[in-house]
Amino acid sequence: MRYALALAVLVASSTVTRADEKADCDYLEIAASNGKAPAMDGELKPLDKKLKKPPFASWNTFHKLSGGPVALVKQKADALKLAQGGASILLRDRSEKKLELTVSIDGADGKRVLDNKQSVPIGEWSMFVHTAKDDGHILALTCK
Amino acid sequence: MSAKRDLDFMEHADGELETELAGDGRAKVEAVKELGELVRGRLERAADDVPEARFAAMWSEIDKSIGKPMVKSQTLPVLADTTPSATGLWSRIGRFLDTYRSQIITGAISAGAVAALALVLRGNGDPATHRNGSDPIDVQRVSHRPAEIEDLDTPGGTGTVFNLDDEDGSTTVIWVTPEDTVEGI
Repeated sequence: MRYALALAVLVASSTVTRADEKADCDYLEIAASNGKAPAMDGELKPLDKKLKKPPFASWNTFHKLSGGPVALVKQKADALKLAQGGASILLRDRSEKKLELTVSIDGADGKRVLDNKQSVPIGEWSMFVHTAKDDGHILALTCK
Repeated sequence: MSAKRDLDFMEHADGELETELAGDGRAKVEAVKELGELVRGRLERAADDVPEARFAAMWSEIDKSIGKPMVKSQTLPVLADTTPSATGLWSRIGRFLDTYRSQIITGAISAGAVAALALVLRGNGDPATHRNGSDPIDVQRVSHRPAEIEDLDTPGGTGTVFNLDDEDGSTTVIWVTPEDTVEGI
């Protein structure tokens, strides 16, 4: 009986610990530009409304460069495989409602574009944009 | 002579001889009786000290022999072939449950309590925390609130932070414009 109780406590505590220690994120890397005709990849539908609003509306062509899920583990930086430049995300902490993230983005030339610490509500999108000449590079990230 | 006398004393002590003894002889008979009591008591204690585990093993063997299929009887061949094995299995299960009933109940209650605790600590099962099928970016929000920017460093550029609110939620945008750009956003 003691062993059963200990096992049950162990399972419960490990479940709780696991939920507190990780986050499941999805990201989209987008190239924004101006073309002859407006175009937007179907995979960008979750961001469709936002990309049609200013200041994004200054571009009319949006192509997905890369994207997918990324599983974050607390205090372990994860590098995103971007088509242009690089990015890393660190889950510093999390609660039931918020995630504390550190995001670093490097440009295609390898130079650091931004370092950011933010506390983002679970499920909301964060978008990181940097411009080069007339084109834009967008990294959109959402985590839960 | 001495051996014969000792035998007499033992017979006296056992009540088999009823002759008068001198004072020295009575003392020896009393000593023999006392020694007999001591030996008897020692043997009884030894019997009491047989380990419980040994008795349990003995009972287990008895139970096994009870649970085994009976020897086939020529007069009742059908009963001997079918009934005893099933009865033996269920009777063993029944005995097991009887023996460990309190432990089983305690374990079940403990497991239930811990499971309830885990569910409470895990949250209320909000659908926002569930992954939706294979679509990696179809995510529901818990609330529509912008992110809090704690720190922003944009080397070689200018950073601008704003929020885009719509029915899908609040999106925080960090827009970095290079220093050499004449006109910002």
